[in-house]
Amino acid sequence: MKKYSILLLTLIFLSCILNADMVILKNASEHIGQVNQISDSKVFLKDESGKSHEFLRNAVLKVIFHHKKGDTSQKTIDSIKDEFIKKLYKDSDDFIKKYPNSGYITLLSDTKYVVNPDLTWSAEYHSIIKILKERGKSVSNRSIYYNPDRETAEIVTARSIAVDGKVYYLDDSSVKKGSVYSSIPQYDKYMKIKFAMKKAEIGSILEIKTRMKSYMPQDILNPFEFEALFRFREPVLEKRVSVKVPKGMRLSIFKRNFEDKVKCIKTETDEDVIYSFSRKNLPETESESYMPLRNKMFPYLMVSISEKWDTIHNEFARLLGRKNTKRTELQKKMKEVLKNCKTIKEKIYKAYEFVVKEIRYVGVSPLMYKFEPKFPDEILKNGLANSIDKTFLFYSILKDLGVNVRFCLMKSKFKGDLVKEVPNINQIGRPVLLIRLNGQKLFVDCLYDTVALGEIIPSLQWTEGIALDQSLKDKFVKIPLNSVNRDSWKTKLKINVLPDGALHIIESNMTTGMYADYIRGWKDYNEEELKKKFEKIVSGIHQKSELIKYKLINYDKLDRLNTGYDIEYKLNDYCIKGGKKILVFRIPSFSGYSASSVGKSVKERHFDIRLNNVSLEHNDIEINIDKAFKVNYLPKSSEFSKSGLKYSVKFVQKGQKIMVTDNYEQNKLNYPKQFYGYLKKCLEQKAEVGKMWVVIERR
Amino acid sequence: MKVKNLVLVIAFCLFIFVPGFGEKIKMNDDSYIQGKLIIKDGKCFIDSKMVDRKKLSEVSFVKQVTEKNIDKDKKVKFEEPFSVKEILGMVKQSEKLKTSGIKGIVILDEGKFVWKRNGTRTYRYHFIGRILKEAGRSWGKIGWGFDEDRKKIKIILARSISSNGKIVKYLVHKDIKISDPAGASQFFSKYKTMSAIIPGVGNDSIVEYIMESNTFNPMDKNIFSASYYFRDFVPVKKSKITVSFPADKEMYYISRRMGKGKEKPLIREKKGYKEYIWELKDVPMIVSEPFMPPYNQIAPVIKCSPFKNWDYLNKFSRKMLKKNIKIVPEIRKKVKELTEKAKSVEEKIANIYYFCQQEIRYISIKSSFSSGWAGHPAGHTLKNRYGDCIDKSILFATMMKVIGVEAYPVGVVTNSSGNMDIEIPIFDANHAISEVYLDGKRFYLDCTATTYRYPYFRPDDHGIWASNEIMGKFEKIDIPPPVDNMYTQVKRMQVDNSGNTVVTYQNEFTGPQEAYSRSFWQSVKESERKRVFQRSVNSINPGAEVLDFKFTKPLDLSVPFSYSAKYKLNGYGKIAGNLMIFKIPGFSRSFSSVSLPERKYDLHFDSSDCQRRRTIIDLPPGFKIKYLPRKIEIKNKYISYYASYISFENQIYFEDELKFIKRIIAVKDYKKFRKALQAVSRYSDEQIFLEKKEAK
Repeated sequence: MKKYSILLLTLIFLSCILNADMVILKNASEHIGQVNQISDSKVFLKDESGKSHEFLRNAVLKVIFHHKKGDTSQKTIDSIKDEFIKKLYKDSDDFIKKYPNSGYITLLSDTKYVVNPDLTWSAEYHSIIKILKERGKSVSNRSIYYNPDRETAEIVTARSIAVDGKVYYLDDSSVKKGSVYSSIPQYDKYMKIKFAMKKAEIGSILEIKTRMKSYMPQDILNPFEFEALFRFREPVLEKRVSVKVPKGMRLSIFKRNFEDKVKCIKTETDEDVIYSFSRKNLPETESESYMPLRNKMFPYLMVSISEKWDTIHNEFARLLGRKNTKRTELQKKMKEVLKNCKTIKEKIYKAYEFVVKEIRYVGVSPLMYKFEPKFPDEILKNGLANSIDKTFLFYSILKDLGVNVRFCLMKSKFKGDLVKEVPNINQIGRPVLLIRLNGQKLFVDCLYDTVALGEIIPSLQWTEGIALDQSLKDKFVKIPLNSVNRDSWKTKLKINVLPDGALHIIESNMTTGMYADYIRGWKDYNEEELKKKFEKIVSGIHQKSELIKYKLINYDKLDRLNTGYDIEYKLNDYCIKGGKKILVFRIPSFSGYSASSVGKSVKERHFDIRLNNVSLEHNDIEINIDKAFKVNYLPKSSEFSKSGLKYSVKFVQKGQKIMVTDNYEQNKLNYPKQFYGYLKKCLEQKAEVGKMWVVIERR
Repeated sequence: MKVKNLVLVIAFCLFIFVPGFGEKIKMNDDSYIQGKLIIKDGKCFIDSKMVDRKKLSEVSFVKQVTEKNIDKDKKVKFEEPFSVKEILGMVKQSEKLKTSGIKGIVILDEGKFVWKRNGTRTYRYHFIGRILKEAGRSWGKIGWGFDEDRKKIKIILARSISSNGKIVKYLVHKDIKISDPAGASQFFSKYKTMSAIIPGVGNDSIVEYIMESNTFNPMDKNIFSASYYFRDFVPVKKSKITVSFPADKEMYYISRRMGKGKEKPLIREKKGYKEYIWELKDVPMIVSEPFMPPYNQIAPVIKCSPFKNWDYLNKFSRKMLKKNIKIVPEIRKKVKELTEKAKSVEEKIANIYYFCQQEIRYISIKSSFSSGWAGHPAGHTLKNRYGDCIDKSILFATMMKVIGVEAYPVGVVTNSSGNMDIEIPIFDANHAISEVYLDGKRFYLDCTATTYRYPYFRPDDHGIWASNEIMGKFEKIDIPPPVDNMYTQVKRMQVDNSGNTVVTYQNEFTGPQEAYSRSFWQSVKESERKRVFQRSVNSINPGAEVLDFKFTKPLDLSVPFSYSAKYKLNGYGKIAGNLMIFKIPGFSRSFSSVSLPERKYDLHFDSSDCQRRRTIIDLPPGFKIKYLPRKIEIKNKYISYYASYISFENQIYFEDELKFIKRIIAVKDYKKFRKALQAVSRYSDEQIFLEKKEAK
């Protein structure tokens, strides 16, 4: 009995080495175990095998206490009190068979929001996940983001239940709390708690519970709001979201695609109202090219405390007014910058050029910092700014110039449509300016030094937002889709086919929109690097190429919408011999055409189609065949046009000249699933042209 | 000096520099307390006040030296070695280095290492840069990482100067931020960063800063090193390094690519210290080229160490490493489980290799030098089922010990990062792998990937030095032969009279190519594999149809990985009059490595490799062969290539093999190498020409 008791006590003691504390000595060695005593002169540690160590206090650099996350008395599946988890563990063998394609399955995702009468709030996130495959292990690396000026965050429980039923708790050794933007002190606010679960193996069940609490009440600029999606890439057994608010507090709730898929329940007590949303057996999703946003296709929920757009508008307008004060240095600077400008148009351009080139853009979203802009003089002094501050700086300058300008916040296309039913500022994180000049309306995006004045990048086209300044009139604004000529790449080529089968090419490219932005990005190359860039371009067309000359056009001018380059090169040994007399070649410009994005058959397509941008690609090609040859065969012309999607190619022979014109246009962004067959046909037709041969024969 | 003034001066100094008393205790809510921590009988006390242990995060026993009461709005200007006028003069002298489009010129790049008698050391860095365009403005962002228990970082001076010298803006103390960076998801370290952005930096500014790090608590007073590189991707006017150490100590060094007459330092003695000084002026910029050597193999460099040989450092590391290579019951049990069904020792090694790759997730936890350099105990890594490169190689070595195979964790500098300089004893490795001895052979395995079949390992470990600190020696890791990194394809094409082609093929692999293919396919959902094939075949020919495909299990490392597929390419053979023109689908070769007509630097690849293809083409009955490409053969010390088309009755038989034999192509051989690869690429464009048979 005594022996048994000693053994039992030892086992209990060993199991009580709950923590993997760490003692780091000054000589850099480390010791892991439980620190059970620190006296005036020594530090005592028991390691994981039960062996005791003692260190002189003055030899120790540091002691790190690693606490485990959760009720560590639950060491095995049998000792876990939660019957729900026990059942999941028991039933979990089936999942691997039931979901042969999934990397992991979320057994439970349960989020509980509570809004307090003082408008502070808390959120508890509870996930139980089973890893099914190697690629599912990534789910065991997690992060929580929070704003320490307003919120606290903590890991409540994090444990892995291994296949053998043993439970492993996360401890502080693999938890790191750190600053997200430490390298940008001016925008360093958000914190991240990241952690890596132990024993994340195939078959493990991970249980994670985290909590966030706001200690500052929500307000217009820091609203309580959340979104929830009820379908993901991997399957979910059950997803629940609930929000509890005091009775009398109104919520704005938006639901899309719920139908009968998501259960909605409203429960009332004397003091509170609880809105619950749940769905079981969320299927996995297979990816496809040109997929619409998930929040458009799948059950989607957005909730916030009821607010009016007018209130948000007025609050932000007041804020802009308040912040547009400390700007004496800015005014001084602009006086200097604009001194040689005569017209208002010139001034606007010069000011734009100053803002985009002299104030470096840092990609810290207002959601990860704040919506309140800095004072103009501070932004100027910093020399760098996020989207809100950079746009605000330009706004301030334009205001001083007496320009009719409105500060707008838009919802980026990649986040989905503006949900007007749920007014909250977090939806609209992307600022632009709306200028009215000589009766014309111009949207201006002043973040990037590769975007010309008045150019709107694809992610902002066809988006909606709100103009937040003095006037409530027309507060909703919409940025239209570009016409295709505003996002275009047009090429003129003159190709001489030489007697030895080489091609000598003079090419002229002119671009607008996103294509022009791409070319303007080459401004960062020095002369040697630029030459190598062009050498790589021609080498990519044909390995035996020779760059002769090149020239960039307008690439550093932001008052021109178009930018381009001219290039002259030779493709040696380009034509392919098909015997003594026959030579064949493909049009070099068409070599990049591919139909890889429409490989899927029509009947297999699941979802509607979403294209990212409008575009126009046009080639005018003149091919001069040396008189040593005659044209034996030309590819056939073809044409396709349907609902804003067009492709055409024409081959016309005029003696020793072949004139080729090819044109591709994407005029719309969204199409129903049924359109996929046409999209496939159009892109395959285009790609086919890239495979066609021109056949010439020696005379 | 009057007594009153003296008292004031003393008080002022104390005011500035008051040593903090007690230890620094960090709580879980990120607050700090200074006090003395005692833990006794399960209770915790800070300065005799009881505290909940669960609220403690860490306690630093290092005496804190706090700088108090610095005016936060004050300029950061402890020293000013050069006046603005002097700097403008230096800028003017650098004008001749200007070339079109460069982002800036480094006017001064000066470092000073001081190793003191008491073992502490400082490093001071002084930078002056002339910005010429927007891309150069990143020089206005300064930051350093440090371990606050061992180092203190200070910015001595930081300012921007307008190009005409009229506007000078200084960094102020309140804009210096010390934070814990969150870092990437797999990395957990205790390091902090000090960062700041110098105000007023414009597209033509001059930026100047001086930073100093003071290692007040080195882990070992005898271990010191200094490394310095002298070139940049912009021109450098003056680059200088001083290494100062006690005159009674030795300092060994290596210098590379410094130029004639610059390899040896200028030596000075000053107040009991010796100074070694190297300086380069008007250093030309590095212009990037594809597949160029890593920076630290191009730039001039000096490295210094007080050690003549590696004995001391090896002894230091060996102790830590050996401590961690300890067999515990759980390891023994696991090894037994992994190896009980194995028929040979190699199979045992393979099973353990696969376990360490796939069952130990890559997570890097670095608390100090020890875990950083020597990892964690093997039992700890096994229990947690995660670890980084050194943890995995320690666990692997421990498991090898259980089965009686000799294996060691070894430090390397991966070939994408440069070269370990074995002549100079400094801690230099950026990765750890495993060195194994079996039946008189020595070979290497790398447990950090998840898809390498035994005995293959990552290609960035090929052709480099491995430092075995336990055995105290270096060994060179050979570049495996090309057949150990091979892709083989066997294909059959059936072409009909309309050019429609049914293709069946099988791909097999070895080495890194196998690993990459496994890695890709295991990341794709099984239900999405067809989509991947569809994309691929539709890019070969629009309108293609995938008919079938089969895989071996991507993550089953016990069998070679292969997959096969069958697809139809409608209209693949292009009809042009009475001709049909096509080539082997997917047979296109282009080499971005030889896109430039000329180069300054060697070409660096990961490793050797080999690609082998065999194709049988069944010809359409209505056509005959008009033209087949001639066979080709190329052979030099870097590559070998052969390809041929042979016709036989109604079939064409094609085979080719391309081998890259060496990892590094010397720049003097570049033109020949380029010509050879251009020929290979050109050959891959060749077409098969068929002609319609005449109607009988």
